[in-house]
Amino acid sequence: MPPLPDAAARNIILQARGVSRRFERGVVALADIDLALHAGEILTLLGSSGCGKSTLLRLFAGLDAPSAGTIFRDDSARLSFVFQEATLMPWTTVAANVALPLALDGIPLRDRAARVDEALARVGLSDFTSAYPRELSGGMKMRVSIARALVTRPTLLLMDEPFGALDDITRQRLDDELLALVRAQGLSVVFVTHNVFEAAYLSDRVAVMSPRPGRIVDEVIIDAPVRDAVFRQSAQYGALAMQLHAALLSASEAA
Amino acid sequence: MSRNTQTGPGSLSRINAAWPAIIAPLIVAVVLLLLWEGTVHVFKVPVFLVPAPSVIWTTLLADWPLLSASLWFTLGITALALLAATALGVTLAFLFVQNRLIELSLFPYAVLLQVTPIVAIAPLIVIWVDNSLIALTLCATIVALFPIISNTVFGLRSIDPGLRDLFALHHASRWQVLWRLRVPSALPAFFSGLRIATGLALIGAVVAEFVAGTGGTQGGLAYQILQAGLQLNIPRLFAALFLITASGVVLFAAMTLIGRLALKRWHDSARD
Repeated sequence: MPPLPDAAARNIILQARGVSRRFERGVVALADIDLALHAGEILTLLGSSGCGKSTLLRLFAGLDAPSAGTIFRDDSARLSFVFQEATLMPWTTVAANVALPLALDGIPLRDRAARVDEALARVGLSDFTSAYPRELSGGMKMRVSIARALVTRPTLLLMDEPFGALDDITRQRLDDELLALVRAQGLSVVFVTHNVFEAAYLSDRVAVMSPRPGRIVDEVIIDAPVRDAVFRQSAQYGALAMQLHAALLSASEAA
Repeated sequence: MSRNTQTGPGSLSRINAAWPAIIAPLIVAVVLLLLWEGTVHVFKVPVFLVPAPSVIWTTLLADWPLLSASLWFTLGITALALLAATALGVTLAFLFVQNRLIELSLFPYAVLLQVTPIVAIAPLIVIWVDNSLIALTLCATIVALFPIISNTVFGLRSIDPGLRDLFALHHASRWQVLWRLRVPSALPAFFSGLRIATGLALIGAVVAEFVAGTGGTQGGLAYQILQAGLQLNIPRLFAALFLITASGVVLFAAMTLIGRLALKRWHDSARD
C-alpha cells in the first residue's frame, strides 16, 4: 500500500484506502483505490464510461460499501450529492423540491422557506419557486438540483456527471456558476466527468481512471488560479485538455 | 389570413386535431344508424329480430321509469365494487411493497382470482351470499381488483433511483419514503389501473347478474335484458344494452378526467 498522506497536516475531508468493489457475478468495478480529498479542493474523477467513477462516488457518499479497504470521511463534513440527472420530484414545485432535504432532516416547516429562498437565489432561480419541473429547461432543472444540494449548507459536494446531459454552452455556464459557488462557500468537491475540457476547467486535481477494473492511473494537478473566459482561451487550458485526453486514451488502451 | 396568424399555429393545429377525433366517429355513427334504419325498413325485418334504431329510441323513452331504475341499480353495484376494489387493492399493494414475504405469499392468489372466469365463481357466490346486492358487489369487486393491485404495486415500485438515493442519504424512514416518494410516484399508474378497473367493475356487475338470474326482486340492466329476451321484447333488450354501453363510455371518460385533473400539472399522460 502506498504511503498515506498525513491527514492532520493536509486536512483530509474524504479518503479511500485500498478500496475495492466487487459486484455479484465477479465484476470488479474498482481495485486498490487510494485517493484523498483535501479541504477546499475540487477533485475530479475522469474516466470513460464504465470505469467505476460513479461507483467510487457512491462509496464516498456511503450509498454503497467497499468489498475491501476503507472509506474515511471527516465527521464534521456535511455532505450533499448531485446526481447525473436532475432527479426532481415531478409532482411538486421547485420550492418543495428544494425543501425536500430539510423536510427529511426534520427541520420545522417555518424554518424551511428562508433557506429555500436563499438556495434558489444562489442558483439564480428566485422567480421560479412555484414552477413545476416540467416547465423548466434542462439547465434550469439542474440548477434546481444544485439548489437542493446547497439548501442543507453542505461543506462537501459529491457530483456525478451533473452536466453530462446538457449542451456545451449551458454546461460551460453552469461550470462557471459552480466554481463561483464553491469558491464563495469554501466547499470541497468531488466531481465526476468523462469530459476532459470540463475536468481541465473545473479541477484543482484530476484523478484519471482506467476501466475494468477501475484504477487510478494518473493524477494531474491543474495549477491555474483564475478560471474564466480568458483561461478557456489560454494555451495552458488547451495543453491540459490534451494531456488529460492522452492520459484517458492510454488508460483505456491499457485495460 | 390575419386571423390565423393571431390565433397562432399552436392553438389552430390543436383545434384542427381535436375536431376529427369527435366529428369523424360521429359521422360513422350517423351513417351506420341510417343504414340500419334503412335496411330494416326496406327489407321489412321483423321487430323481434332487429328493431330499427328509431324504435329502440322510442322504447327507451317509453320504458324509462323501468330502465332507469335498473340503470341506477347496476351503476350502484359498479360504484360499490369500484370503491371496495380500490380500498382493498391499494391496501394490498401497500402491504406487498412494504413486505416481500406478504407479496410472495399472497400475489399468486391475486393472480388466481384474476385468471378464474367470474362466470365460474359467480354461481357459488350467489349461493353462499344471501343478500343479492352483496353477492353482485362481491363478484364485480373480484373482477375489478387485479388491475388496481398490479398497477399500484408497479407504481409504488417505479421510483426514480436518484430520488431513492437522496432519501437514503438523508436516512429517510420507511414512512417518509412511502408518503413522500412511493405514493406520488404511483399516482399515474394507479389512475390507469382505476380506469381499467372501472370498465371491469361494470362488466362484473352485469355478468354476475346474468349468472344470478332473474330470481331477485330488484333488477339491474342484465335482469332487464334477460326478461326482455324471455318476453321477446327485443327493442327493450336493445335499449338496456345501449344503456350498459353508454354507462361504460361515460364512466371511462369520467375516470380519465379525474386522472387528468389529479396529474395535470406534472404528468405527461395528463397532456392533450
